[in-house]
Amino acid sequence: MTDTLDRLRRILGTGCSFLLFGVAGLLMGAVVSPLLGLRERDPAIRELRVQALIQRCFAAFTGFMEWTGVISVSAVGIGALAEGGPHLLVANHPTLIDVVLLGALLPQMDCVVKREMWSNPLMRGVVQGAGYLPNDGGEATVQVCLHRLRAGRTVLLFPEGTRSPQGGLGRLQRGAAHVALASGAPLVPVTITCRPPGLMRGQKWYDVPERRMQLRLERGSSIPADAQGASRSVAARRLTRELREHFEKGIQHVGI
Amino acid sequence: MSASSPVSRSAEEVFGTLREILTREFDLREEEVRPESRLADDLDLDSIDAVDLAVKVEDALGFEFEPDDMQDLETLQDVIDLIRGRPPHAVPV
Repeated sequence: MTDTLDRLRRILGTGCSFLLFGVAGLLMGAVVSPLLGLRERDPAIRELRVQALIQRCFAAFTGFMEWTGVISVSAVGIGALAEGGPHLLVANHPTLIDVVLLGALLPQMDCVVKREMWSNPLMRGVVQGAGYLPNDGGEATVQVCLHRLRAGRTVLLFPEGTRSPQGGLGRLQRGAAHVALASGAPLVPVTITCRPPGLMRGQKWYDVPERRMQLRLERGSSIPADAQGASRSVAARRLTRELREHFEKGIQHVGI
Repeated sequence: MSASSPVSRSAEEVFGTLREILTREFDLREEEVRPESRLADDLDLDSIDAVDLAVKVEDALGFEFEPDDMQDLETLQDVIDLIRGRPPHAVPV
């Protein structure tokens, strides 16, 4: 009986969280972001202000999910990333809320997100206002990431390009490695794990696990981008292999 | 020294050149590279690799890819057929 009530409470908590997320996204895109645009003409400054606001919203969303008992979050080494930089962050992508969890901890990050977000009425205003980057793939995405890094902005990529398969890691695309090799910036890996599994690919939002999800975000040691005389294709493959090994080790250590 | 026209090369010659490029520049093993190998699924070539491969092929064979060529190619055999079936734009002299 207690278990059933707890489960119902977490289903309700998840539903309310996503409802709030949708409403906040709509308000941000339709009202707040355009208002900030009126006050600040410089697009770069405007985007940074929107991103700072997004951090507060994401932090509130994460706090609400914790308060309702849906998730608990622990982060190792992420907060320090707010200092210094810019960083080239790369994360695995087990759950629906990974970008929210990371965004709650970092006041500035240019996320590379799916192009579909630009046609999603709830998210379009936010991704445009924040200056997020559409994942069009290939050289175009590499160049736009390079441009942002050179402008001193932290960039976040999910090399899998979509959520991980349950319990594992999808195929890693090599775009992040190409950005690292072209910019000289090391890859800063963040391994995300979730026990028990929830909000994963193929799971419905109301399909809550048997207990509260324990989400852990752990920053790993930076992986230097050094071609060591190899062609860029070979270097990108090697760097991506190294990144994969890092994620696999982190996932196996905690269990996804 | 001039590169001979790709049209005049046999399929084996073109394949040999492609295999040499793929093993040297893309970290692939010789046994992985077969005419029937699928570019994306078997050889794990992405769009950036495709651009690099096109440049290397041009250097080696004098064959220029059109911008959209790579989108229609599925296997290495398709690349060989394309190279052998179209006259080069410019053969290096």
